[in-house]
Amino acid sequence: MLKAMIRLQWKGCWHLVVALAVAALALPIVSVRTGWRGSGEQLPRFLIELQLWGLFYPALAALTAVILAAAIWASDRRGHHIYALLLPIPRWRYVLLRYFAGLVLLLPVVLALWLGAVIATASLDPPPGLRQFPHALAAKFGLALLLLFGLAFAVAAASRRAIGIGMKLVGLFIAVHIAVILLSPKTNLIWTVVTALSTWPGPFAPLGGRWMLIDV
Amino acid sequence: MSRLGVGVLFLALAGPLAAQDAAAWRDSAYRLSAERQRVWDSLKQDDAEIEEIARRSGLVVSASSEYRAFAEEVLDRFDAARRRWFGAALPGPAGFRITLRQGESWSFGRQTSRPQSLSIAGVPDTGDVRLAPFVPDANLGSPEKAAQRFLGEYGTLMMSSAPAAIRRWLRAGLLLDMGEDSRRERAMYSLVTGVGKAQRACVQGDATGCAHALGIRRSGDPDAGGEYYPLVRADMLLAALEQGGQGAWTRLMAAGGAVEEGLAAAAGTPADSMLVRWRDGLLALQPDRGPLSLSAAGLILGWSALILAAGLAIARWV
Repeated sequence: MLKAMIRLQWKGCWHLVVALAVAALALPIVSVRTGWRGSGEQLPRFLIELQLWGLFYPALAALTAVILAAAIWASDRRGHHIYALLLPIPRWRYVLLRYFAGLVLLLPVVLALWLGAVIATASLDPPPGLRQFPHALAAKFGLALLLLFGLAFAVAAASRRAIGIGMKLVGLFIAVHIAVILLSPKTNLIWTVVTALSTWPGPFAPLGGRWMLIDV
Repeated sequence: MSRLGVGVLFLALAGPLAAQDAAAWRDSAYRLSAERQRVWDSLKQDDAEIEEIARRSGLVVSASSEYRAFAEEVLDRFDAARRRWFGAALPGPAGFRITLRQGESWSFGRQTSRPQSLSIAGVPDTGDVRLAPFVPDANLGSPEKAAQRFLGEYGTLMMSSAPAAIRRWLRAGLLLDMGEDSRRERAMYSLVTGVGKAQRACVQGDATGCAHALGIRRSGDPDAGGEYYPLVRADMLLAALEQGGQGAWTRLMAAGGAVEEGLAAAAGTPADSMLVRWRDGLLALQPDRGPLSLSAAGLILGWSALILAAGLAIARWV
């Protein structure tokens, strides 16, 4: 059943997977393109630039997660989930099949990024003091993709009712935030939530930090 | 230039000038005069609107309307930052004044905002005005940014009274208008990736190597290699001033003479200890692991499982 699901999803999304894999392959190669031109004086500048390039890795992971999660559930949403409901398997099993088939579609993107990172670092001869992290960077990208895909997948798989309830809760939260700001201007609820989500042990904490292919 | 040379120059220019249309000359003169008047009016208007906002430990901040709300915060930030490196020292006995100006802005021929100024003066304010670069049609931004710009200008003023040897050694000034994190990170990158023999020795903890690579003291080794670039020197000087505390700047000024003695006097420690402390401070900024840690991987897997469970729960389509 999983094989059939993978085949079905691949048929619907292969062009997206190929495009995202090409982007993932190119990213590390392009990021080290300028290099340090053999001059030690250029190294700090190169590392600062590489740090800025590092912002594109979580961005690419988020883009891949959202695009593939939406594409995976597109046909079900179009058909109002009738196909899923007609199948003689429990709902949870169907969702799990979709999820694991989706994970398989993520693999080419992660492998492309790993290959790009290996190619990029193989072409450089780093001076003492610099270390290369092609495998760790690809592993971090893969894990970030797993987390963000799970999130996007859950939203895409949710029923209209669940999404409606979610939107209402978000609206209520924003209203409370505005009321609190008016009463106590120094209390920022949105900022508090963002901080909680992005600092340890929040779900997005591991997405921060350094995304350096080459580092000191 | 000799009189003969000036004469020849006038004769050479006479031909092309005579060929110009007199009406075009007159129009240009009118335009220039109008432009000068406009700039003068806007500066006068700006000065008329500026008003004193707060005084704090020998400093006074003044601002025009747009910057009155955060002028006091800018003063507090500027004062705290300058004390960190310069203590209570002033650039000169006559006091100082630094003014940041923002130009007026126009849209579709209509003035949308008037020129704005934010000024910090060291008391006594003798009118020894130092204008920061004009910022046309740009906002001075947040109190942090404004304080940073004041600090940059203040650093330049302070350095103009520093011993000549220090100024020559520093090359590019104190770079205080650059964010501290950014400056220290660049200095750390430069320290760690230096390829010269002295630079590598410095990373290993050899103070003599650091002194050579910073251009403070020659090692005598012909193969010692190159020096760090000017930003690293600025970081070194600021580290020495910070190590030395409140009287550091005064001691630097009093030391005069060689760079090494000046820096050691500012830091209040022997030069080698100062260099090793500076090096240790930069190496502490070095990331201690690669992009991914085991704990981060575990956290991602845990959250992924939780999110999947939530996804299963909310996928109820009927």
